[in-house]
Amino acid sequence: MAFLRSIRLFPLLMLVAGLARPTVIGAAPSKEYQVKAVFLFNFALFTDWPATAFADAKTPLVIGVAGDDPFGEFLNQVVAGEKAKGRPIEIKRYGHASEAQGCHILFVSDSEKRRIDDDLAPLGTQPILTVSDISRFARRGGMVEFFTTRGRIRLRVNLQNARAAGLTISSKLLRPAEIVGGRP
Amino acid sequence: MKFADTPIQKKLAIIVMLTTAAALLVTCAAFFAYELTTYRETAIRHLETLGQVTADNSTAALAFQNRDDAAEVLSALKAHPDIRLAALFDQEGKMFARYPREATVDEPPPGFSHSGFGLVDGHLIGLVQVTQGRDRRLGTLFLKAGTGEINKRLRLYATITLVVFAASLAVAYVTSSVLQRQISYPLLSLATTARAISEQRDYAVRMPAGGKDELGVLNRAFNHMLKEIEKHVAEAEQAARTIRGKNRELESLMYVVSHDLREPLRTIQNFSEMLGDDYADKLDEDGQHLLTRIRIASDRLERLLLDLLDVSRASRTTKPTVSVNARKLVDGALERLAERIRDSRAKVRIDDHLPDLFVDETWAGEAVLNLLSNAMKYTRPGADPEVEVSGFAGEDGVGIAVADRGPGVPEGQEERIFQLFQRAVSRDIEGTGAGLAIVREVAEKHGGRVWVENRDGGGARFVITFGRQQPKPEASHE
Repeated sequence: MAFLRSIRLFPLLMLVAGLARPTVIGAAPSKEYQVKAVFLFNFALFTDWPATAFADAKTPLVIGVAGDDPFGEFLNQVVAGEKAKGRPIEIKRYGHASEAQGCHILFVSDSEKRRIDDDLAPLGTQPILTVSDISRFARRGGMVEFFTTRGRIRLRVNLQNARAAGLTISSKLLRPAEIVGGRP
Repeated sequence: MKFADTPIQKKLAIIVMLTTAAALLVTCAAFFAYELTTYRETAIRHLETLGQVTADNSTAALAFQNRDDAAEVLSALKAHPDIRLAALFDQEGKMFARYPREATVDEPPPGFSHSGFGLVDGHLIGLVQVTQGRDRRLGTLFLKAGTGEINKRLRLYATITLVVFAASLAVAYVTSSVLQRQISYPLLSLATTARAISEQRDYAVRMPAGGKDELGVLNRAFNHMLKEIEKHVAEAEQAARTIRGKNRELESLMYVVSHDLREPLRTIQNFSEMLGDDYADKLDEDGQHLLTRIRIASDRLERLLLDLLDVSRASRTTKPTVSVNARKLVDGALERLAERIRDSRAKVRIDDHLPDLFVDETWAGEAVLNLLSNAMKYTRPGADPEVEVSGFAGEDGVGIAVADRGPGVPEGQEERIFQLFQRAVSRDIEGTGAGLAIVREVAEKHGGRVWVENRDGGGARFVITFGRQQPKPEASHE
């Protein structure tokens, strides 16, 4: 992970970024989001989208961040030069989840926790893999929820919601994940 | 035992077994070599598959940094008893999970970012790249397996090979010992028959005709030979019978002639004596002379008849043979010749060691006497007789040799001199020509023979043997 090593050259930058965002307060918040940023990209490897999700073969895979961005430039660096399913990866940032049309993986920031019920509804059955670390996200209409147990980041997946959106999540991803609202 | 001396049955068995063993050895070696290479490949492929599956199952664990899940995936390897070590490394080569848990793996193996399997230091080593999607490398799986399973399998193969080898040899042995009878039995029976024939001289036996193979040909040829031999033996026996009959006739004729002719001869001698005694004054000088001629001739005739009688007796003797040292025979003869030896100043040299003989003592002594007496007649011109007596042992049996320094026997006369009344020398030398005939008769009667050879430096050497069945020297001290 050359990018991880290179990012260590900018601890100050990350510290500044961490201070700038009140949601990332606590022990090494940037480290946590570094990991989550990588996970976000890894979802692209373990998820299949329906053919209708892409306009053509060259359409990039879009990873969106809704609400306050906890990743900053780091997310862009993670996906820089990488490809998923043969497609280039594009990072888009949205004010709110409801605006994330045409996005493939959407991270909903903690800042959105009061409005996610309203925001997720318009996305309806669009093939968007919604990811968040808002608590009970998987039970509130989201698909993948980050939660922390014994200092480790774990996944909670709502398969029903993913299937309703026409997404297929690899059984491999489900192996280490906790499943809610539907059986694999 | 040399292979050439081994019985044919054993020979056939050895040949079959060696051939079978050689073929089996090559086959088993090939089989084993094949198994060795293929099973290694199979074991490597097996490990490769296992590694691939494990790597595939580890992708999410690596991608989402779930060590527990990774450890669980790896622990499934316990189903494979030969796996010594399994370790997952992340993209940077940091140890992420391992199996068994207590294993110590600190350093990533060299070349951990490549895939490959191989046999290193008695272990199967494998590296599998953990990837998700087309070329997203998430980490590396390192596997190390013992060769216990391979060795177990190879031992099994070795055992099977040995069992197959032994069983094949056993089957080959049984089969060959049954089948080889086809060859060895006829040959053995032929050999047994041949031995029996040569020992018992029964030429009437026949081999079974046999089949059309070479053994059958051999049997038939053997039978044909036997038939021929039987015929020749019968002919020879017939001839021998005829000769024996003729001989008997001759012998009795000789006896009759020598015996019965003496009676009228004695009459002639008596009357001519009476004529000389009583009518000497009535006969003039011519008459006296004629009478002397008659008496000389009749004396000579008497000697001839006596010699003839001797020869006849020599051939008819049936006296049992005894063991006697030749020296005794020689001494006896010299005693009878003492006067002549003294008169002729003959020098007689006798070897210290003369052989023991198994003979009819009387006639053997007679033969020796005749040989000595004969030798004393032949000298160097003007010299005294020189006679040498020595032992003889050779192809023709045991006997003695008597040598002189006379003129030797003219070439071509070596046989003739032994015939009755045949002489090789002029009438200057006394004798009727019966002596050597008696010698020959005695020798042949004993199963021996007599011959003459000229000596280096002049002279003749007569050798008489008394057959080969002489007692061994150490067994005949009398």
